[in-house]
Amino acid sequence: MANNKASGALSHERIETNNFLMIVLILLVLLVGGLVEIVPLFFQKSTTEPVKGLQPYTAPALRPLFCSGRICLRPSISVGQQAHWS
Amino acid sequence: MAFSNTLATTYDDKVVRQFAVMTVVWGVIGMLVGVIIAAQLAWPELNLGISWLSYGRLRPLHTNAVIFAFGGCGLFAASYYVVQRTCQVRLFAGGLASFTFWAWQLVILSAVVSLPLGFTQGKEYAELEWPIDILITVVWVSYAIVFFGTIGTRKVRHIYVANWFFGAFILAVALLHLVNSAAIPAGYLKSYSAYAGVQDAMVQWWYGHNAVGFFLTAGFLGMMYYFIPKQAERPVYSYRLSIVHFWALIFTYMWAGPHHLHYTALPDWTQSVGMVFSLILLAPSWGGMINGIMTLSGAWHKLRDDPILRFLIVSLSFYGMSTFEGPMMSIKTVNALSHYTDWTVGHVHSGALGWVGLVTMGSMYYLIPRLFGQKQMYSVKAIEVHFWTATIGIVIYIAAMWIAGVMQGLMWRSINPDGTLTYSFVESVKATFPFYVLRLLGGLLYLGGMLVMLWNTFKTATKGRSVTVTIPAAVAHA
Repeated sequence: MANNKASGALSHERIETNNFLMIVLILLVLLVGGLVEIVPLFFQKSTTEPVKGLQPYTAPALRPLFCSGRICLRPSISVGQQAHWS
Repeated sequence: MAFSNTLATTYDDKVVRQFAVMTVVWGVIGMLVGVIIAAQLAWPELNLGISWLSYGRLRPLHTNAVIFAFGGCGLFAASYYVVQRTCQVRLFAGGLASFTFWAWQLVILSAVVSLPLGFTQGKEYAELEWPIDILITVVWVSYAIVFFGTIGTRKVRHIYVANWFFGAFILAVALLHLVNSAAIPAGYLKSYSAYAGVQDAMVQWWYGHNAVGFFLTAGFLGMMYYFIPKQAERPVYSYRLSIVHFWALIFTYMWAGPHHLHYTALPDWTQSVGMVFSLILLAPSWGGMINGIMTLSGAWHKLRDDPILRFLIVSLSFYGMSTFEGPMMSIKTVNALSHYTDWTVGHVHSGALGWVGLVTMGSMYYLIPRLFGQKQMYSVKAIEVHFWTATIGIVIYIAAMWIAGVMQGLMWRSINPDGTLTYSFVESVKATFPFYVLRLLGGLLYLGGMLVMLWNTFKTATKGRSVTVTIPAAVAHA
C-alpha cells in the first residue's frame, strides 16, 4: 500500500496515517450532497407553501376511501408515502 | 497511556466467529422469507389468510433480514476480523464488541416479531419502530467506538484501504439513521416521522439510496479490498485508483437519492441533480470493480481451480453490471418506463444476490475455516456446488424480472388511438405470472446454495475447534 512516499500538502499519506483526520474528512465529504438537496426544500416556496385552490384531503374525507372494498389502510400510512414506494 | 488491547498477544476472534456463523444462519432465514413472498406473488392464497403472513408484512421482514441480519452480521464479522489483522492489534473494548453482537441479534429478533405483527414506520428499509431505532443507535455508536478505537491503537502506521471503506460505511450509516429515523413517538410502538410531504420523501430516499450506497456497497468494498488480495495472494492492483475511487464514491453516492423520486412533487432541479450525480457515480463504481478484478492480473489461472476466488470475482462482475444498470435507470426517460415495474426488483437483486451475496459468501468461505482452526472448508466440492446453484439462480431471477419489468412498463403506457388505455392493470399482472414463477425458481436455487453453505459451515465448525490466533510481532515500521 505504502509505495507512495511523496509527502506534502496533497499527499494522501497524511490522511491515511491519521485516524482523526480520516474521520473528519469522511464526515465532511458525506454531508455535502444531503445539505444541498434537502435543506433548500425547507425554504423553497414550491415545497413549503400550499398550492392555491388545492383542496387538501382531510382524515374524515379519506376514511371512506381507505376502507372501500376489501382494501383497508391504517390511517398511519400517508398518501405521499404510497406514491414513492418502489 | 497504553490501552489494554495494545498489550494483548492474541486477536479477539470470538465475536468474529459469532457474527460469521450468524451470517450464514440469517442468510438462510432471510432468503427463505424471500422465497415465501416470491411464491405469494405467483399464488396469493399462500398467505393462508393469516395477516401475519401477508405479503405487506413479510416483505419488510425479508428486506430487513437479508440486509441488516445477513449483510449486517457479515459486515460486523469481516470488519472486526480485518481491522485487527490490518492494525495488528486486538479489538479495542472487547466487551463492547461482544455487546454489539448480542444487541444486534436483539435488533433482528425485534424485527422478526414486530414486522409480521404489523408495527411499521412505513419507511422503506427503516420500518422498525422507534424503540428498536434507539437500540440500533446504541449498537452503532458502540460499533464505531470499537472500530475506530482499534484503528486509533494500531501498531502499523498506515490505515489499510479496506478500513477506509468500513469507516465510511460506519459513519454514513450513523448519519443516515439518525436523520431519517427522527420521529415523534405516539405510544410504545407507534410514531410519526419528524418530516412531512416532499421533505419526508427526500430525506427517506437520501437514506434509502445510501443504505444501498454505504451498507450494501462501501462496507462490502471493504470486504473486497481485504479478501480478494488475500485469496489471490496478490497486492491490490492500484493504490492511486483506490484513493480516487474511494473519495469520489462516498462523495457522489450522497447526491443520488432523488432518482427514486422522478416525476413526483420533488422540485425539478433536485430530480435533475440526482440524475446527473447518479450518472457520474458509474465512474467511481467501476473504479472499484476494476481495482478488484485487476488484482488478479498475473494470477488468472487461480480462477480455474479456486471456487472462493470465483465467488469474489463473479460478485465484482455483478457489481459492475448493476452499477451500470443503475445510472441508466436513473435517466428520467428510462425511469419513466422502468419505475414501479419489476425491472427495479431485478436491478436490486442483481446487486443484492450477485454482488452483496456472492462477496459475503466468498469472504465467509475464507473466514470460517480459519476461525475454527481449519485450512479450508469441510467440503470444497460443496463450495463449487453452491457457486453454480447461486449463479444460475441469479441469472434466472434477473432475466425474468427484466423481461417482466419492460413488459409491464410497455403495457401500462400503451394507449389506443382514442386515448384510452390498451390494457387494464390486472392484464399486466396476469401477463407477469410466468415470470413470477421463474423468479421463484431462481430464488429457490439461490436458497438451495445457501443451505449447502449452512451444512458446510456446520461440518467445518464441528470438525474444527475455536482457536486463538497470536498477533505477529510488531513489524519494523511500527
